[in-house]
Amino acid sequence: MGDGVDEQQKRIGVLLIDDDPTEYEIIQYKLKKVESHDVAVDFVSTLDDGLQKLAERSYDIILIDNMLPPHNDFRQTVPLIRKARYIGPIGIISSDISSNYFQSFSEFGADFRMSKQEVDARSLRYIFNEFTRDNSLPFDDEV
Amino acid sequence: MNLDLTDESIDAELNRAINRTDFFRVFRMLADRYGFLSFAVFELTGVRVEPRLDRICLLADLPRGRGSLANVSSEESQALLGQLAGLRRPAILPEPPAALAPYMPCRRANLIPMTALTGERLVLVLADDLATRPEAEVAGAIFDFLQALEKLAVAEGLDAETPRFRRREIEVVEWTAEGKTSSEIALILGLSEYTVNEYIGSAMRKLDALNRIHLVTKAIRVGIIS
Repeated sequence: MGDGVDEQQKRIGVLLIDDDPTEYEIIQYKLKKVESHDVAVDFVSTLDDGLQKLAERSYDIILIDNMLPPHNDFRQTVPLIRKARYIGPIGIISSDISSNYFQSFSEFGADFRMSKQEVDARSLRYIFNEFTRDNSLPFDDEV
Repeated sequence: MNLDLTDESIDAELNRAINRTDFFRVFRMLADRYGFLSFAVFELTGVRVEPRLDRICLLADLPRGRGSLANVSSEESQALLGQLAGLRRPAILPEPPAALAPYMPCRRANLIPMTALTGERLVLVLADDLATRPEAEVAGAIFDFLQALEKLAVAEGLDAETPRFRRREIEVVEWTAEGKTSSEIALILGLSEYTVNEYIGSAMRKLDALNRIHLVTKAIRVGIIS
């Protein structure tokens, strides 16, 4: 079943930081099935290039590979992105998210983690819907 | 009593689940395993005079996300909440509830209620495209989803009569009391604005606060911040 909702597609800007260019090809392929959103992905293979992109334009979501040489893992990279004053959602994607240190992802400023095998149209649709909705000031209008 | 899910890999993911996206992943895995089309989890607390389904929906795998439920009329919302609140055991509906039908296209709906230790109730709505299912499969699905709902209730702080506050929730409330906006707090704490708003939302829910000022006032009154 597709996302067949008769509404205008929501535009989303995604920055994908991954040292493996094939991941970009794969995610582009999966995004073709996300009918609910019009997604533009910029791809960079290093954190430095990612930080440069962030200085140039804004992104709705960042997806970052856990292991990104020369850095060890998200515990080093995500705080550097936050230090660059990015306050949008950051998701860590990795082949294996079962290691214990992944349990601390929120402490390091990441919003979610997902294994690369799990990333498909439905997961991406959920992420885009959830992390681009306005969740500010809940219930304020009721006062 | 601690029972495990019937699928070890999903059980491991459930035990690692921390936030709602983790729980979305687990519920998605279970829905895929049993062949359900989509799902939504509602929390039957804080239901006000004019309930909005998007505000009491904790998790949803819907084409336009849980935010789309804001479009449900208050009459249909009220009717659905009445139906969900009256549930005492899992039920199968021959068609999806009217309020959810445009957002959860399916042949019929399975409803699974769970009462948390606080007395609050979570209800899972599963969209099903099968006309019938073997009883054993239905029982297995109910068992597994109930385990997931119980873990979700714990993660949402519904496992104790007095709400427990996470360190991050307290930090966010403290900075809110200092007059900082969500984006300012995000910069200070190195988080996303989305997550800061989620912490504010969960703290408001736990204290039954109506807005940020009310949240800060109540947090001071009960001693969460000073």
